[in-house]
Amino acid sequence: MEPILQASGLSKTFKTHKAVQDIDFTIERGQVYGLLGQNGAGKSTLIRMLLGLIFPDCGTIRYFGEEFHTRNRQPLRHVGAIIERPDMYNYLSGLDNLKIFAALSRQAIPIKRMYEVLEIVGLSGREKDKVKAYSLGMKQRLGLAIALIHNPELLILDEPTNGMDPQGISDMRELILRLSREEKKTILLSSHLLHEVEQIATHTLILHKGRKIKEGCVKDIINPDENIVEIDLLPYPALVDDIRQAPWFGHVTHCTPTKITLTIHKDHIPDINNHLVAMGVRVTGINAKNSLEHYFLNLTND
Amino acid sequence: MIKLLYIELYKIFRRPRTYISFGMVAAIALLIQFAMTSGGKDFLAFGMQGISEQFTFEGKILNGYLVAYIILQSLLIHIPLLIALVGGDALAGEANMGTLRLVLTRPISRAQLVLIKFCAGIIYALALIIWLAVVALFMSLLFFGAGDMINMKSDTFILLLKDDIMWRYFLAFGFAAVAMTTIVSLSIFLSAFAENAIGPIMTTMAIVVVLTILSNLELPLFNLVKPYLFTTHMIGWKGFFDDPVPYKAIGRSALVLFSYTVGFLVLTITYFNKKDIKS
Repeated sequence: MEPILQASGLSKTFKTHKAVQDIDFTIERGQVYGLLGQNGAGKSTLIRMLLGLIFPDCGTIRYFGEEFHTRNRQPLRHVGAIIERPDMYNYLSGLDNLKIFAALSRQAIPIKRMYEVLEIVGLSGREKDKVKAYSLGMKQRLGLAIALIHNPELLILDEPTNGMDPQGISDMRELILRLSREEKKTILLSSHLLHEVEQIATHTLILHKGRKIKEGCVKDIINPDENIVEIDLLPYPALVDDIRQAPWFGHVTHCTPTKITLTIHKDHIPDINNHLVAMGVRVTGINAKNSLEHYFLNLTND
Repeated sequence: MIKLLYIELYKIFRRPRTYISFGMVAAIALLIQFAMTSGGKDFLAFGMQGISEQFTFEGKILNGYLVAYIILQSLLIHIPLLIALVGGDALAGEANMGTLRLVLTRPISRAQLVLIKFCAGIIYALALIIWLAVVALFMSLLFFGAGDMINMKSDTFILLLKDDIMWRYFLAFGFAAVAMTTIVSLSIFLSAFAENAIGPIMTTMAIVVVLTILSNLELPLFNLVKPYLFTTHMIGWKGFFDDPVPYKAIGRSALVLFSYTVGFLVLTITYFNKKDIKS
């Protein structure tokens, strides 16, 4: 697979706050790469570094094998981006905004292409309205149209569903999936909506406190062999000591007198339940979860 | 580059606030012309009472050239404040709107962006000066007609013949354009530091007002710094209405203004090239 974006050793410190520390990752052609992290994890700083808005203290960024830095911004010809809020020139029409960003992309873009992307994002017929009259969802769609106007190979979408209602989120998800499947775009998607990322992303990178804590294929991360099992109990003060000898103790990720959390295949649940009952522990509930969201929460839970 | 400049101008001239400056210039010029129509003769008699006892003036003293000169004296000091409205907004306004980050994700360098903003600012300033020429000079000529112009100084006066005036106005407006370029570069420089346009607009205005006061105060302490203040040289356009024209002094003033412009521009590019865009 051809690497589209390679980041190596990226770090950034603001005064004393280490926002991003030593991040490496590679995005290959055709991937939808989900960037996950809690608020303040460093997602936005990382994306801004990738787009040349924030300068890394160290590390390198390569687009399509070509190094990207202050003096060489040419790789951005092949990149389209949405960064957080959909801010545009509100006093101009949607079409005027498209024209402005088309010119800034330093390519000859015919007016036909502008109408084409407006059609793709579902804004046909509203292109001559002033942006100040658009809803938030329409502004996000226009943002996506701006990102797409120069037909980039890589789309970097930072929180593209920010502030949208559930219908808007669903529509945006469908749109991103369509861009990936039909337009063959490679996509880097940052979102705090883990369920959305899970439905869209093929690969993911999880950031926590500025560090990479997990990277890989979404299918592997939400491996059916690794269910997160939560067992609720009536209070059993000596629980940790009493289960220490159990063969499944090594799978325990979190344990309190009223709750055990394990990462284990769900076939083992009956055996664990029997073991606990035999110990005299009174089990009140067992919940097996298998999703990116629970994996993420488990991983980032301090 | 031309296309980028075009879209920058498109953004400036599609904003209603851009036209506030044009409206203000027209309003002040028309007010002064109206006032001169009704009470101009008394005003002139008062201004010339010292010399009218020794000289006899014939012909149309209250004419378009004189009225235009009075308007320029009142307005050219305030035009910088109007130019700051656009220059101060150039980078900080985009940062405030959130469009700066979107613009900078495109394959243009930050130095290019600053240069485009600077060129657009100069074109805006030129447009404002041309507009000033139209409303101050040509409309005054239309209302009051042409004639010989008396340029009153503190201790003397200069009589400029009717056919010897128009070229002076053209050169004066040209000099004013050079001076306004300095204001454009100052306001864009301040704009690079801010995330909101109000700050750089107000700071530009404050700097111009304070330095203009220093330039005009006849105190020995300030006399040392006056030659180095750009505001001292911004009134160099008046030299074109002297006889003979002090070309050397005007050239020196233009050079000081040009040096300030280049200095502000280099500082802006240097700072903006290293700035993290977090807005």
